[in-house]
Amino acid sequence: MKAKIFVIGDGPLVMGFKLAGVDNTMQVNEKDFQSELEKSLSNNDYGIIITNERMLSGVDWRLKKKLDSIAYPVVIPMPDQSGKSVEGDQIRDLIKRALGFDLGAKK
Amino acid sequence: MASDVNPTRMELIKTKERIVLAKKGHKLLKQKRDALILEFFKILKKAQDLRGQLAEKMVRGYRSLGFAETYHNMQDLTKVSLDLRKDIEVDIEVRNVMGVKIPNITTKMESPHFLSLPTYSIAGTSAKIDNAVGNFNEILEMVVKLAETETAMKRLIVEIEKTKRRVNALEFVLIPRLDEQKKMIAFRLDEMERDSFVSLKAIKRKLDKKKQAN
Repeated sequence: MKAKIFVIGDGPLVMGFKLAGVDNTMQVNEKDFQSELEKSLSNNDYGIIITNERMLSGVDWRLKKKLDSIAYPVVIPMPDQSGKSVEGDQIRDLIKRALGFDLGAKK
Repeated sequence: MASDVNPTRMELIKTKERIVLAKKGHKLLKQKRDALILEFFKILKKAQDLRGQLAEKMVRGYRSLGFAETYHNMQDLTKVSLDLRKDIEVDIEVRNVMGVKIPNITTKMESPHFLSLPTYSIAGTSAKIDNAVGNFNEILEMVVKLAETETAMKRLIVEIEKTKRRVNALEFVLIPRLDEQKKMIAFRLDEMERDSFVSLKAIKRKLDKKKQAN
């Protein structure tokens, strides 16, 4: 399936990806984020949705659950300026729980 | 629980059938788990801590963007970004691994310009913009790579956990319980058989005595 990349998030994120050549972007504030994200999820043109991790953590659990189960489109949360990534830690925790060893400790 | 079943032959046969079924299911689930873990490690090799690298890159990207924003204003940056628009096409195919849906992503980024050089004007822009553009180009590439591996890993790991729980539930709870039940029923049946055997003997002895008395 042919699809496009869509960026939804705060000012710096959107600007950055605009400079990288992404055409479909939308700058939103925290209040409109959830409804706009839902709208973009139902748009079949978008295959990868890049968004703010901080904003994504604010949406309600039903949407989060949906994000965890769908394979299309793919939603990628990006870390913010501080460079701390909750997403990566989450995945590592999951791995630790499922496989019984810490992958992060190896590096 | 094992104690509230009727110790009948029918029940014994049923329990035996259930044990066979549970064992079959256990074996299959174990195979599924192993296959999932194999797939997971394959993807893990590809992923190679992309997340950590991305976080680092993002910090640098944001910083260069901040510089660019302070040197030029937002309008200038927006103008530059209009010149940079690319045809980015992602091809997403959903692959099915043991019932887990995994996206397979291939990207095609085509610049409408045939030069690999920056396509915005030198006049009115500075190295700050070049920096930000370069950084975010790298970030975009990484994100696309990450999109495939990360979602696949997330889906797989959740499924692995579920399957593992099922395997363990079968192995350590259901099958031992059924075994116990089978043993109990067999024991009760044997006991009943001995019981009736003894009483039959007793009756026979009484009848023999009666015959002799006559």
